[in-house]
Amino acid sequence: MRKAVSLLAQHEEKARVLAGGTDLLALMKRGRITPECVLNISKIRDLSHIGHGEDGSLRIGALTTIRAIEDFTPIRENFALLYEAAHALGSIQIRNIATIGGNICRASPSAEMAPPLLALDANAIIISQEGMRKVPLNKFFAGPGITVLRANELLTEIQVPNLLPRTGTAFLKISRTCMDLAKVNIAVVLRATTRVCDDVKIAVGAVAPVPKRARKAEELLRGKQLAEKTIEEASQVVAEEVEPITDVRSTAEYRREVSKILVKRAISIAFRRAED
Amino acid sequence: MNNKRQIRLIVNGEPYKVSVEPNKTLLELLRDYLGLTGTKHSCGLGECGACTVLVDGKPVPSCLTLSIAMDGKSIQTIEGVASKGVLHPIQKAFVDHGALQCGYCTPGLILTTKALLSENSRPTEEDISEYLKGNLCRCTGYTQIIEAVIDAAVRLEKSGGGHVTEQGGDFHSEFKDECAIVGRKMPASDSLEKVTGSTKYTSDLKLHKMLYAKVKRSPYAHAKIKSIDVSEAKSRDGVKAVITYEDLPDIRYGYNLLDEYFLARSRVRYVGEPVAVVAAESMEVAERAVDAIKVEYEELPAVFDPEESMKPDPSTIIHEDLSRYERLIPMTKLDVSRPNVLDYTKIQKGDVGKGFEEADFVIENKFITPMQQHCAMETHNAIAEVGSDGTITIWRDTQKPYVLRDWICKIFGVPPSKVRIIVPEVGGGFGGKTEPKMEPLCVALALKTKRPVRITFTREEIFSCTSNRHPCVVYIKDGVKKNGKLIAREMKLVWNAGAYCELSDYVAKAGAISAAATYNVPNFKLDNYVVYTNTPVSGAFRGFGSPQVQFAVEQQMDIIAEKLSINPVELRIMNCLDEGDENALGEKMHSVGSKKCIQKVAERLRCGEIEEKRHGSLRRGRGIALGNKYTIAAPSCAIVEVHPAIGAEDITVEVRVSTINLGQGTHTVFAQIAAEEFKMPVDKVKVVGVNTALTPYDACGTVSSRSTFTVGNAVKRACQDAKNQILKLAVSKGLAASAENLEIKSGMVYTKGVNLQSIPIKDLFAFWGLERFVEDAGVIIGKGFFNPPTASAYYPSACYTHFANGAEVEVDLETGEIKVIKLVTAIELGKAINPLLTEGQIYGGLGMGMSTTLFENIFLDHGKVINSDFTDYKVARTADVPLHNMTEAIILENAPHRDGPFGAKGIGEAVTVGVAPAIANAIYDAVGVRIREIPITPEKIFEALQQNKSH
Repeated sequence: MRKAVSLLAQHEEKARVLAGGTDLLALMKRGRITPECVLNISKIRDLSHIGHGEDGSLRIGALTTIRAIEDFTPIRENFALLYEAAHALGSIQIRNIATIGGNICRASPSAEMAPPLLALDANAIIISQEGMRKVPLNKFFAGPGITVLRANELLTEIQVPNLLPRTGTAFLKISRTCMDLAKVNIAVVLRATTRVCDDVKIAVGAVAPVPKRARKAEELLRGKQLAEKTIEEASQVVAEEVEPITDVRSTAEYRREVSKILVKRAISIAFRRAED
Repeated sequence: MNNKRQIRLIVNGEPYKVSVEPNKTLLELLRDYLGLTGTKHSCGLGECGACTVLVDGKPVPSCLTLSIAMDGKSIQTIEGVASKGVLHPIQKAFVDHGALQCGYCTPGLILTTKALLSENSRPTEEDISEYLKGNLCRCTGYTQIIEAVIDAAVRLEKSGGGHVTEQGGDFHSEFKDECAIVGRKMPASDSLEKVTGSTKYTSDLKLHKMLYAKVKRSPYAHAKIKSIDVSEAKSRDGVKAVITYEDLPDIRYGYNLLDEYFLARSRVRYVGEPVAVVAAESMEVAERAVDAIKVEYEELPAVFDPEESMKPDPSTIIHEDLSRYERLIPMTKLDVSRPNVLDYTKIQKGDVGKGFEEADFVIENKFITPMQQHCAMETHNAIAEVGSDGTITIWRDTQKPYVLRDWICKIFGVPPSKVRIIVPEVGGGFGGKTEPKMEPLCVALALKTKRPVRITFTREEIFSCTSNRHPCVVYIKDGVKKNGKLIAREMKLVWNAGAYCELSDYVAKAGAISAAATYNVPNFKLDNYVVYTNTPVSGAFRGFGSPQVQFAVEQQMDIIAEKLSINPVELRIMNCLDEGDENALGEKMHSVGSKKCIQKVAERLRCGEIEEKRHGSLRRGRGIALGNKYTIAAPSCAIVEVHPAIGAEDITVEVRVSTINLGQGTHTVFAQIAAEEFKMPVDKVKVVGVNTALTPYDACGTVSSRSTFTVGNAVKRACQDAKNQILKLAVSKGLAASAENLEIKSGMVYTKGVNLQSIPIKDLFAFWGLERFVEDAGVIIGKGFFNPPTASAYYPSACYTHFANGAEVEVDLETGEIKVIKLVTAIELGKAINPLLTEGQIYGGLGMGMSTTLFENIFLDHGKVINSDFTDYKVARTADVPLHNMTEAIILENAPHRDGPFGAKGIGEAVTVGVAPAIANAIYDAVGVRIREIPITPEKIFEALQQNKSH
């Protein structure tokens, strides 16, 4: 890892970091990017861990494959949205090599793992020769394909704080075929006591230049009874918070309208799970 | 680049130590360094699964995996699945269930299945679909694949994970009764090779000192070429030749209208039109040299919309010399008032004006279908080599080898004796591998460099620069009586040919006749316009014009049924053509069976039964469609050679035809026809691979669902010719007084009647030193020719295959999402020669039909394709199609065709045509919105639902 960071410091902007390769190699083959050099970090052993830290938080090494996340029982049991997002990403072949670090650092607006991690208030651990820093994922994405990572920095770990009791989560995605980038993907983390929403976090993907939180909608729901009318209002606010575009996958109008529906559905699933 | 790294890895149990460049993928390592070509390259982006291998037991896309990351790993490829020549139970299950057609996706599917079953020994169908969704298959529609995987799990459990010892199954058994071979289910004859990865496709061939060619293409949709400067490209290290139009003769090509140059001369008319081509020592060098070619253009106004283009005063004229272009057959006509219309034809019967006056209702609608890609799993490949005697050999995955040969002769001024086209196995065609767009360039470069040259098109080039399905606008106006009787139908079709004609005039006319061959309408009129635009060229695509037209006709029938409150099944039965009826082209219909087809489908769909249709926001609906697909009347011939081998106990029958095996299994069908004729086991028949130096002339090619009907007949006749010669020989040996008293069975000639006497056919061949020959004749060669009769002056159709489709869908009222629950088709085939392969064609056609209905659309931005790969252009996957037992193939054999071999007709295209209207009608039934444009997307349904709400 020290060598990787020193090489990054040497090459800076000229280098692109290769983890699983599913995105980087595909982008290079499609001629979308032509880096002068590629830094292959896939063999750094201590970056593919998954487990709990001393504080109980979930620690996922940047090189952990999506498949490993999908197969990790504590994730299935406690972080349904992470399991669901991992399961929704690409094919089994892709999930066997794609990594969480790659999925996040690629900063695709539709990145499957981004909305769940945003809704979970995850942090990114970043290192460089100058040391280590911790960046909330909510401040990590700067634009389509752009993150706050400096050219000499490497993402090493994602840390996910533990969930409080009575919290339910959900991830929903719609796409053209069963294996495609999302038209819209949505993650909800919701804590509720007898139908009152104590806290909620909603994150949306593929409907803005970056995956993002729908904070106004969260605000509207917090402390409220989860009545149908309130959820409807919140979903309306989500539709106002998104800035979708039209592309080969969908239209801006559809993405906006369907965001509303997915939010409502995700809230209702998360609520059911919070009650369980 | 000399920064190779040494890695150690285990491949199929054997240790390897190799030096590779750090940028080489595992796929390149396996194919190029280790020669393991069973692992296939298709999309290169990890989207299709064809390159799947197991790394430490896990399936990964080898195209996105770097070799250097494989140091210390254990890899399994398809070559390592069978053990000592004995098939793995998964391979055996794939063979037995007909779970493979072209076979190009098969290695990846088998390896992924192997990983699945080692993780989960009894997966549910949902588990299977989910696990295999990364493996695209364009041929099978997945039904038989799912069946095979379910069965493989059972077999594995039984065998305790071991390999299977029995091989082949019942298709090696002896000939038993009268019609034991024709009509029997048996796996395709090339299955064993395909499941073991040993099949060689053009993309697997490599010649000594082979060069790699790359095409320089136009970035403009319409421009004048002012200059081309190749000097820098030529001077690059490793570049062996660069050619432009100046290196080719001034010859335009086409099928009928000759309007296109192999390399643009002074004008480019679409984004991607070839301008120059480079041959170099490696693909990387060729690609960089192409970038170094400088072309100066003067951009011209471009037109992309066919209805805009067909106006009398379009914004640009695409072919100023259109009226002076040569036409090979006078089947097309110009509309002089419309400069961009390359062909305008009409069909007319009765008087539609009068019909509309008499009608109780007149119903008018407009329907639109988009540009779509075949997406054959194997990309297009050609290799050309010029021998020391000047003989040009081309290896190419083409559907039209003789057309290709003839063009090569014409362009390069060489006689046919100096050109041969060899067609290895083809990884899917669907009409997309018909145009000679790469071969002349390969040959020109091979002639110039004196070395073999290969061109491989990228997926992006296939989308932009080969041919796609014609976008079409259909206007339909019907006059009906209150009782449902159609009395007038007027249609206008506008076909977008793209920048050049190629097959457009044929496709348009074929689409038009499909409008006339389902229903009996006394007053019928159709105006057919084929229009140039500055978009990629359109061409043949499974269905050849029929899907576009019948999407409109069959929705229109449902619209009428609703308007008149008549059951849509009854409306169709009331109006459809039947045996002996004359269609609008003046053809007397034969071998129809439409009524039975639609009744069967309605029965299986349980139309009319009331059921719970609602569940939360989900709504179910059912829809039907009726339809037809013609087969072209073009002759074909076959040669059958009968000879014994030294020491062999029996004779061999060798069939030579120039029909390509694209995965549809025609070579198996021909072997069955020959085996039936000789009453011998099918494995004693050999169908020779296509090579124009060996297999007989056939200019039409493997198109139009004609192989079984036309070429099958030729094979049958060739067998009969050979049999007659054998019988004459037996008479000369004194077995009987005349051939009429003799018959052939199991390699013997028998006398008919009670006192059976016989002689082995091999004994009719006398020893000639070490060899066996027939006296005077040498070997026995049977020749068969079949020229289907046609009755149409408008288009040469030989027969029509009629069918009905049914679909059940579930639509989400809130999101507009569509799930296809069930697909049914009933098809009148006359005779299914091999029902296993026939079912494969049906399932595959339904899968492709569903995919093209719901997902597929090429997007253009100023004429440039913007979704030219499998990331952006989506094709249906395992989890998108209905459950395997919810896809139903009903083969009807009630109306044998008088000219078909054993009464059989073609099936390949018919099965795709009716899927779109059946789904569209089912969606209407479910949620009350009518989508008149393909693809039928959630976006369109959602919008229509919103409009319904606001009304």
